[in-house]
Amino acid sequence: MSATDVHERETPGRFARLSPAAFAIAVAAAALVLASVATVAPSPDRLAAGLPRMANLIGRMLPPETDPAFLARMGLRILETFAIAIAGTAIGVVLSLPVAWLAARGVSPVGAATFLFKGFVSFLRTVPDLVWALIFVASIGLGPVAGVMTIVVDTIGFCGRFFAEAMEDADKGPQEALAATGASRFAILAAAIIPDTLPSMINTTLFALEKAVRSSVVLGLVGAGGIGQELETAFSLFQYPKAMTIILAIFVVVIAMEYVADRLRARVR
Amino acid sequence: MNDVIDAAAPPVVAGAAVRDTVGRLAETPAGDAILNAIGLWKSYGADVTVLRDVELTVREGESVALIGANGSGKSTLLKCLVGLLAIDRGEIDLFGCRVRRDGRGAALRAIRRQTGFVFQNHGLVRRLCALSNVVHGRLGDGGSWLAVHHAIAPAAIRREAFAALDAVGLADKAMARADELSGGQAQRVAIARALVRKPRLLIADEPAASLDPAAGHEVMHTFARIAASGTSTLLFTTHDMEHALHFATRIVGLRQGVVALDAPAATLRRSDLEHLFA
Repeated sequence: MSATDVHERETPGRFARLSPAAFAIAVAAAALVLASVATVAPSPDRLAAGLPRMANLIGRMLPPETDPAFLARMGLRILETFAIAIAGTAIGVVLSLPVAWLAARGVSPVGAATFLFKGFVSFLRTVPDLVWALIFVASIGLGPVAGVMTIVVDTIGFCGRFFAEAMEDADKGPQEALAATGASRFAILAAAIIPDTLPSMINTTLFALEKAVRSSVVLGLVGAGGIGQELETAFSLFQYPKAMTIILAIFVVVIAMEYVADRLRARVR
Repeated sequence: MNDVIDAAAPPVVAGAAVRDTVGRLAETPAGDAILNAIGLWKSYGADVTVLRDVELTVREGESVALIGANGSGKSTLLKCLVGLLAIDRGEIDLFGCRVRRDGRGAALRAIRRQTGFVFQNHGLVRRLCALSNVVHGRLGDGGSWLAVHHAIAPAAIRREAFAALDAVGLADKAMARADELSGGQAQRVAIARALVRKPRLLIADEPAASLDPAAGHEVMHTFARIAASGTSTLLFTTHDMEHALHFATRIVGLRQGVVALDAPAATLRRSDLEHLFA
């Protein structure tokens, strides 16, 4: 047998052969992407026309507003934004723990009914935070309480899923060892599963806090308190220098939050 | 040292092991049966039958080695005995109570409270200190839910846990994280966790299998001290024939899920066991 024969018979093709159904799905997906881009993506003409207007807007935003009274009011709003994020995340994380336990397969005390709690967590996660904010503003009223409620719900959706996955992946050895002592499921959760998954849970919590800080900025746009409300007012009243100051402040706050979260994550083991 | 294991002055109870003139454990007349397993069958799926009509009786004060090749059903049998695995057929009576097949219920938890179980991979919570892991041994006791961590555990439980660690020679490692311990140390912490509630029956699944020879011998000596003290009845699995001959009073051999040998260790030689591994 020559070397050429061996190559022809044994070298696999570079790409797997697609089934007719898979090929049809791939074509449909490509068509969907192209149709979407053609329908709503910006055309070069529109981009070209918009750039001068963008430059004009940025020009009107500069220099940023530095009036001390405004800066003091903005500082208070930033603190309120932080308070919304921290309170919402803290309450959300605490509520996520029992929800995650009930939703975690192989760990949950409710057996096959875990899918109900998984579904509940998915529902909380799939509804966007702005929609939750509109619901809470309409039901509770304008202000930071609606923002906190929104962050709580958003955090349960986020942490509930990742906490449950961490619990499902937890080391089974200690769980079996504690079951052999006659420990209850709750005792096994508290003594073995939570300590084992704590680094993962802390990481998830820090991501949730970063997410909450960003969300709480935006929630103000629909009246749920925080610095976003100030930004919305500045744009509505064409006070562009104030808007620029607020945007810069938000940038600094979010970057600082991510830096602190990264440092904390590096210390968890 | 403490009253968990005291090798210096072992109280000899009925059936407790004592050392014979060549250093092997010899048996005094055994006490009442505390474990009675009759006609146990266990399969994994439709094709793999691991236990076939297994019968096993363990009497108070015995030190029983369950030996056999890999896959002979030793570990499965131990887990079935305390309801960690459900049997397909048969009956298990432990301390006079029936072990339910579904592995649930208050009665089963009550049985487990009288049993200590040491796993091959020790099953410690790796991010917690040795003392917290030993405190966990009391989790199954009614009202001891604070035993999830040594920092909040009742003072009496903390004292007992520390005494159990001292008994296995690891008092100075009480605050070391489990993942910082050597394999032998981790296994001894697991033994302390099993001992902290002073179990009537101590079950160990290949306690020395994952350890180097020196650490394995050290762990087996710890078990020998327990057996000699008569505080717990001992049932352990091993595929090391020397360990079985040296540290057990009775040897039960499993071959392909069937009990192929059941005899006092003092009457057996290495050559009598080799057919179990063929």
